[in-house]
Amino acid sequence: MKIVVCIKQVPATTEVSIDPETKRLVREGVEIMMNPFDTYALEEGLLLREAHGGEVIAISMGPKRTEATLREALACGADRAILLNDRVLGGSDTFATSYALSRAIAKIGNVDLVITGKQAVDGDTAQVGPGIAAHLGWPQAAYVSRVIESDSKHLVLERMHETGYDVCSLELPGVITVLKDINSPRVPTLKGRLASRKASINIWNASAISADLTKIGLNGSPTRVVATRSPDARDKHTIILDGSPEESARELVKILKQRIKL
Amino acid sequence: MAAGNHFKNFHVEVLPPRQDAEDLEVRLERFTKRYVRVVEAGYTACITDNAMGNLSFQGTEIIEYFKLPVKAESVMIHLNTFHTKRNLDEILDSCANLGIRYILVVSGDGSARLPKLAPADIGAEDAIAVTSVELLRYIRENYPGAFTLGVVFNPYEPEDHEFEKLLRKLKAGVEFIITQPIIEKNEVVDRLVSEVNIPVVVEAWMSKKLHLLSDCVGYEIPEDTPYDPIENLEKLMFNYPDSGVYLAMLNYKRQFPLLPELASTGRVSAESLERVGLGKAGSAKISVAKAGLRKASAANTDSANAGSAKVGSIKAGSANTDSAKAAVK
Repeated sequence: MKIVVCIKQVPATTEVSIDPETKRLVREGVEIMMNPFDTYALEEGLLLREAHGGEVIAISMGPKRTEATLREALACGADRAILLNDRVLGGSDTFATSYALSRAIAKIGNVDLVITGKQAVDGDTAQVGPGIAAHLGWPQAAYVSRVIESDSKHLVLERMHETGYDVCSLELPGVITVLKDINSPRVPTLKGRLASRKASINIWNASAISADLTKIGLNGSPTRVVATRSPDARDKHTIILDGSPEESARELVKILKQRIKL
Repeated sequence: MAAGNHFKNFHVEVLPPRQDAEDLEVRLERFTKRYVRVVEAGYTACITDNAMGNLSFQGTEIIEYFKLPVKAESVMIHLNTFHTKRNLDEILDSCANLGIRYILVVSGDGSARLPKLAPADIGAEDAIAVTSVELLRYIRENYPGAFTLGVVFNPYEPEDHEFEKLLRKLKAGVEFIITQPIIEKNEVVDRLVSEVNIPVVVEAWMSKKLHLLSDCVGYEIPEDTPYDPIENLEKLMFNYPDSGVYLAMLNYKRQFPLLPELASTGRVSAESLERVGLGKAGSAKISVAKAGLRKASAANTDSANAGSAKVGSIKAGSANTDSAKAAVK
């Protein structure tokens, strides 16, 4: 089974600032990490490879420093890593990003399965996984919480939706996005870590993936961030309830009921 | 220290490199040198498990990768509950294959990147969460006779609570105890030593930065608190002659060379201290630190005034359990 796992490098902190001009996250000088949901995607890829053989290819799009996150994936057990790195890719929205990734997946060739985390913790859009499926014209299952059955032709999956879970069958090649419930990501071994430090990472530019320049970067992005603002501060105050525990409990229930009505 | 009693030996903590270390090769080399030095000196190398929740390499994998020596009784592995089941079994299998006999079972410090064992993973469905007690039971059941298992005892926790926890650990089959760091003498540890008949190893804090223990003791120790770790070690060895000592944060350049003299005489001469560039602090200095830690211990005892009644139940309760009966005097 040839599995591609899409990985995003994200800030390792919630203390990020927005560039007032570009309206994008300022990523320079911020400690970085692998998007936490992508660690579950990677683990699922590794588990499927262990079950069926094949290879796991980690792919990311971003500046050169993204190599560090791809090395993390290699340390965990990915067989190889590819970085899409080109100035013309800068400013891509989720449509353009998923298009570029889909072009890279097409270039890899004979891919059976693409796995992404359900969303990135910086953008929180949850659109890139489904976007890749749309660009490739492949079936997809989002918010997957369990792989029930798997073989080279199809997966049987449990996925979460608004009111619970359902079980679906996905023909391969296909795309899935995964939840944290799906597994417990492994930590890199010493052997893996040392090998990853020396491993070479393939760097592909827009030309290498035969990307249509009108569909990538800022110009190829149909969405624009026109303004950003912080959410309103929550109305937070402390109420001290006097009286016996029973009286305080009654009063608390009364207050909560009033709030629910509001 | 008698060679025949393993637990009376020096237990020297060796911290494996963190996964995110940029100078990983340098840190690995430092680890292996320290490890070999400890083992060759005849002490026990105690390797931590993701200490403070920092993702680090496992001692077993470093030993395997660099083919480091494992002499009988020369290695103790810390093992906490922040692992996948698969990883847990890999570590235990490695310990068994390498001949590592001593495992210190701890609940441990988690972090966002570290997985946590679920009760169902280790057949502890009745438990709310996996603690050192459940982990002890799992190892006992699945690796019978393979390891000698220990746990940590914290004299800074409320006394009755800590002894209740200890009873559960004794019932789960623990065979030795290592305390949190203590200064000179600790009343709760005195009680521990007098009430259990399994080996107790007292921990000596070998850094001069006593304030780093603030989290451990549960109150703020001022940064400028004077503290002489060598003098404290001497006093611990004098006050707990039947116990071994666990050396945390040992300075390998200056303090390690003093250990043979300490082992044979229980003291370090002024000449030896001078030779390694360590001035001997006055006893007035250490008493400042001692007063601070004793204050915490007394506060905990006060807050657990019902403790003595509970202590009685520990003794009675343990008498009903084979493993606990064997462990409690």
